[in-house]
Amino acid sequence: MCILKTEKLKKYYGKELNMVKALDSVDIAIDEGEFVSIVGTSGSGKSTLLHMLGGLDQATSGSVQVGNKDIFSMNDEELTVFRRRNIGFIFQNYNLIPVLNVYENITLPIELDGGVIDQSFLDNIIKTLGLEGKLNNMPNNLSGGQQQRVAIARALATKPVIILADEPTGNLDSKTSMDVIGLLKMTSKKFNQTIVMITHNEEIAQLADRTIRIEDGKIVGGERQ
Amino acid sequence: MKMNAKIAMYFASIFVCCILLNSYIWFVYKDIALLNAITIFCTLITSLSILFIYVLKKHMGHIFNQLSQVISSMIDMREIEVFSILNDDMLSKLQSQIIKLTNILKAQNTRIKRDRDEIKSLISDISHQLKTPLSNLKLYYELMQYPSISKGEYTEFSMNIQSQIEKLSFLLESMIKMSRLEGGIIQLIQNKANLNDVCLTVIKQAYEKARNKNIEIQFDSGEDIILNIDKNWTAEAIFNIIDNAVKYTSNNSTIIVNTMKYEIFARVDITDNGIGIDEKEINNVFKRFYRGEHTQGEDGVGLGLYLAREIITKQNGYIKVKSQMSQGSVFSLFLPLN
Repeated sequence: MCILKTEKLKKYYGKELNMVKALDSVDIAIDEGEFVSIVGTSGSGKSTLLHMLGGLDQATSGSVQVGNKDIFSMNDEELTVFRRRNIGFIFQNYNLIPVLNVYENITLPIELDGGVIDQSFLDNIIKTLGLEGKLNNMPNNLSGGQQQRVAIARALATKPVIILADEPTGNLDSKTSMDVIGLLKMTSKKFNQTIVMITHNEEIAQLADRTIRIEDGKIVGGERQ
Repeated sequence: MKMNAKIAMYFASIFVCCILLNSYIWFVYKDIALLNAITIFCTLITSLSILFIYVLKKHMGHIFNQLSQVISSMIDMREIEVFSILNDDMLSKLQSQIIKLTNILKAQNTRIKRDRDEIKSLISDISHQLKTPLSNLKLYYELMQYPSISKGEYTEFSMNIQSQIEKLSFLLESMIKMSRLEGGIIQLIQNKANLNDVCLTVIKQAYEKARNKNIEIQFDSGEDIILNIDKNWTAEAIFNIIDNAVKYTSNNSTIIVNTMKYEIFARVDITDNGIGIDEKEINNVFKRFYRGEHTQGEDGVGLGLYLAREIITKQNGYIKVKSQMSQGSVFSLFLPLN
């Protein structure tokens, strides 16, 4: 079942002669439970695309639908609530809150939504990601790979419909990258998560179920058969 | 206590309070005007409370109605938005949870359907694969029935029959393994095992074939890596990859197997300098019955890598390939440490 869809998505910067087409009529469709990687060189528009998918940026024209809901039709406040409940983000630089410990960082999005913490689900995530012994640590006492694992746990904690990962291994060495990608793969299967991951590393992209290639703002390969 | 009784108690206590207040005012001030004012005020408060309760009850009734609508939408697997899912309140949250649940149920249904289709296509793949060797066998058998064939032809045909039988039995063997894995008949029995020992066992199995081609298999192991894996099936996976490496590497070369321990995963690398895999083909090599463009000269049915990946994925691991045409390939197997 299709969970994420863009239709003729365009994002132009500048005007007339200076116009840069960051995204030019992008149509993609991603199924529930799929692990998709988006590859492209820097400047190809892949980060712009991910930001559009997560509603972090407004498009020039076109639509993005997350589970049948057009996200550009929402106002800022609605979008914030929608994102909090439906989309998990993983960033290259982890973006953990430095003054909160690991456990508090993971549960923060649940607390923000005023929800009750599903302890058994949380324990399952923490165990899968090998964070049992680190819950009371502060983020700056962790290695890069460990911080990214905390970020993955945080993204999973609210059981979002879709997880968007922006170069999740960009700051990690190749060994730790393989660990992190392996965990993403494992969790996507275990918790039936849909994951869209941006990367410029072919070796990492290969591990996804499907690779979408983007060049100069256009999709050049990896459409669903 | 029932809700209605509670409400009755509540109003009774308000009533008693009002009477007490009125009698207090009367006995202390003896002022009829003040008493009247207080009485009117009390009546007003009481009737407002009654009105409030009535409105609340009506409102709750409405919400319960909507909730029942939400639940019936879930029963019919439709996605109706009774409450807005974008407000920051409990009802909206409930609605978005219900929608999520509906989607999960739908996804499960799709998955079950996909599994069924998978089994269907497996059956058709298998019957298709069995057809060729069987019809070959039939053909050669019929040819051998002619009394006019020469001794040379006779030997040739019987050789062909033998090779077809071998192919058939290999095919069947692989299919039995596959069907056991696919059908979930075999549960992987995960026990503590040393990854290095598993690799050594596999290398011993592959040794004979490698020696015939004068290929050396080199094993570099670091520390002992104890994993929770199914020893036999994991050995099967690693064997399939090493066996491929031996098949597609020319004589007098070296295959390197090494193991490493990461923080979360253990890694086994199998490096060869064989024919390599074209970039276009890398995504296909793990597909069932897929055979590379450059593999024509070798036996095989296109199940080895498929099985290897199934086995590793079932144990929460994954496989990665790095390859360059005519330079060689590196297959990396990752298995979780705990």
